[in-house]
Amino acid sequence: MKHTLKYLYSFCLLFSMFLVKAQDTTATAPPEEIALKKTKTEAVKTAKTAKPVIQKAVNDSIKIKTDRYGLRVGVDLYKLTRGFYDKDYKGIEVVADFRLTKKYYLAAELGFEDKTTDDDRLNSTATGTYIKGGFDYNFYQNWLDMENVITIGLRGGFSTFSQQLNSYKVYNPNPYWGEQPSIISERKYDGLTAGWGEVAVGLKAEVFSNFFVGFGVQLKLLVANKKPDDFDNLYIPGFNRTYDGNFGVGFNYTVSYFIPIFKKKVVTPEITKKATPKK
Amino acid sequence: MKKIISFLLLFTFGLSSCEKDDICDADTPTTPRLVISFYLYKDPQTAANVKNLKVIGEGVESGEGIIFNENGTDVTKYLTNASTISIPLRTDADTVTYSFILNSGNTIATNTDILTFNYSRNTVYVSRACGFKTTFNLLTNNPAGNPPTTPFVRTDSPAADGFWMEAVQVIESNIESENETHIKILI
Repeated sequence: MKHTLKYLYSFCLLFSMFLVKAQDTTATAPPEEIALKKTKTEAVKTAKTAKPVIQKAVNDSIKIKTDRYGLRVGVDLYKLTRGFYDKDYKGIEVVADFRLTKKYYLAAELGFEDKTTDDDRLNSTATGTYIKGGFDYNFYQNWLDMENVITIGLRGGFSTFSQQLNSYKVYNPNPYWGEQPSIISERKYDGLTAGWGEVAVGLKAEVFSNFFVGFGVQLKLLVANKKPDDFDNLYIPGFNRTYDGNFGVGFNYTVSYFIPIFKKKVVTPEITKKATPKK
Repeated sequence: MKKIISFLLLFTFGLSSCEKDDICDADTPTTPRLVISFYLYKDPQTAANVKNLKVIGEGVESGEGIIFNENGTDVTKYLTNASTISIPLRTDADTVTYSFILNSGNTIATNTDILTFNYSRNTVYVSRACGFKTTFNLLTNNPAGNPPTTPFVRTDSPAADGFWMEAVQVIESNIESENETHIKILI
């Protein structure tokens, strides 16, 4: 516990350094470029208290917005906390995305899962790691300098894992000789792999400066699945439970931190028209 | 925004609630029974119906026979007059013994023959809902082997009423489905 706290503090310290850095760069932005139409500022005032970027209005000026680009890293709290209340589950997932263009983000998830699946007739444990990579498209139009995202994205996933069959029952539709009890087994199947594609829908909202809370759901389609000879992959880390078809679903709840790396100025198109003759 | 959040939450809860939906379908081929067909001894190509056959497993606690007719009364549900019967093999032992009682209920004409089947077992994965199934292999006839193996042993009942089964033949020693005859009995 003491150690955890120590790490927590050092993380906070690390993050606070980033914060300071972020503030610095904001201040260096030339003030004459950062201006707004009077009407717009009114709206801002009601919506959100002005950040340093939004300066006092000068009439008939150009609205310039800076978009921050950087890396957002986080962790899936759903997987992390599930281990506390579900004794059959241990897992962690690290999520990251990097803003490529105004609306596109490069996204990846890396995780580990250890899950015991208890079905009526089978009890098996799947353990393994997975990686998912792809992109997100943000279709949410932010107000001014807000950076919330609602995304739809595509991912390719790959998992390498092992399965252990803990116990099983023999299904006998004619139990004339009585129902056979469950048989304890120690069969282990190593070197299993699976690949899949998924459509991910999610949102991330900035709750504090640079801290994002988000969640998402994923619909998955299994493409490749290396099964054991005499068993099936009942749970694939990253893909989750398998169904008779190739479909799967997933859910995550993330807390992430945005590390700003650089900025791009954005001029809103309709104001640019007005502004060009001035220059 | 709030609408989307609540929708997504509802969606995910909806998904998590429909997990335990697997029931082993009755049509799924699982542990097969041994299929026995009866033919005339004089004309081995002609199927023959047995008369009021009752089959009881040796060592069954209740002493009840195999139910052939679910809708029958306490007496008739154990009786069959068909030319083909299916009997379960033990999934927890490599041998099973059944008494085949012909003309059951008729004290004068009743005749009991006893068949012991010897086999090996395999456990085969079926599906998440059904778990595993057992398939059987009747042992091949090798009386000189060590230990000697025979797929079946036919013995008469203690009453020494003679054999009503004239001959027993193994048609298919791999018992993997119920769609074929495994044992042919000539009567």
